[in-house]
Amino acid sequence: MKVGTRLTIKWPPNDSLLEYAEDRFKRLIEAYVWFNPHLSLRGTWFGREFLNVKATNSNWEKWRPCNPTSPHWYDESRLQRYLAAHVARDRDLGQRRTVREFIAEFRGLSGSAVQRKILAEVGCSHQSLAQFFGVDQVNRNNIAELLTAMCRYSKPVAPKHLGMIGVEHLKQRLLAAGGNLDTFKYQCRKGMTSEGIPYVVEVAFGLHQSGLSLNNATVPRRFITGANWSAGINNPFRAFGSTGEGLESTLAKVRANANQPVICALHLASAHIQYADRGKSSIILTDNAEQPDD
Amino acid sequence: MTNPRPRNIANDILDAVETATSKWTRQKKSEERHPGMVRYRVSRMTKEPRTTQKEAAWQIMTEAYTAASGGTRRLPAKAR
Repeated sequence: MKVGTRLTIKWPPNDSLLEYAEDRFKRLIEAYVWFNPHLSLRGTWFGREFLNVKATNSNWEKWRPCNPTSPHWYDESRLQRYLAAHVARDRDLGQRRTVREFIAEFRGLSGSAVQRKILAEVGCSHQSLAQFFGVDQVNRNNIAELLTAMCRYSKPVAPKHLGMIGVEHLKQRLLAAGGNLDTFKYQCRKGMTSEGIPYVVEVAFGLHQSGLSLNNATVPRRFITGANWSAGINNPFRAFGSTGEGLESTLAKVRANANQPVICALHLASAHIQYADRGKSSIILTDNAEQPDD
Repeated sequence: MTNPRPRNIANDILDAVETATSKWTRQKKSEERHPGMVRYRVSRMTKEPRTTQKEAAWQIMTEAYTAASGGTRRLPAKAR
């Protein structure tokens, strides 16, 4: 391997638990290919290759962790936590960072003229970040002022900049999974939350080839879900808001439940996703959804 | 047609799923009412949509513009 990552998991032989998990494990690995057009992936199971997929678009781009964040993605408490993390890290490394250096890390605020305006408005020129954050107690008022000023001098990030998987890649994945291309449907929704966080929802749907044959031997549903280009271990859209109903009940209403010969992929890209657990198996969507009628 | 749902992530997910599956849902509901409708599944699910005027126009747009501009392709071209 010249460029890339190799991950090997050693497991005790003759473990029935692993045999039981084999199918789910393979499907989880394969799901990553659905959400990453730039990914070439080869998987082997006890020396036997089960997956070998080439990237459909090696130049595909998405918003990466190394890209600058936008001030519009923060509220006061989130910015406060972000500042606290910076101050703690600086203390650990014995560094002294200024507020100007902190501002320069944000998207659209790398110019010195803009930085000067913000510093003048908040009144923290030449101040160290630790001093600005507060020595005895957190300086909440100044942090709120800083956030307001940073938002004023930078533009919100358009949802399309987060990265879109696109119709062509999903078409190819559906075809590789045994789907019928004539039944392929793609839907995309781009938007901003009420807090100004951009998001992109992409859905691909199609019938498995066996669903078009008139005999009853059909394969069960193939359902791939993920968020921010990572596949979910389970369906992470288990509940929408206070209604308690999730994506599974929606799929049942649109006749795409687990017994149907359909292939369905759903991906959510967002600058801020809240998970209900450490394993990131369930996403907290506080918005209430209006479920379709039966 | 206006979308009656307010825009948020949850509603957008539902809206996208409903729209993507609409043809299949219609077909399955029809099969539930009349099991014999299963024989029309292939034709209904794979029917090609009709060609729109826009699609037809785009198919010859480059050729038409080249012909209209005398092959130079340097004349201004605007949508209206």
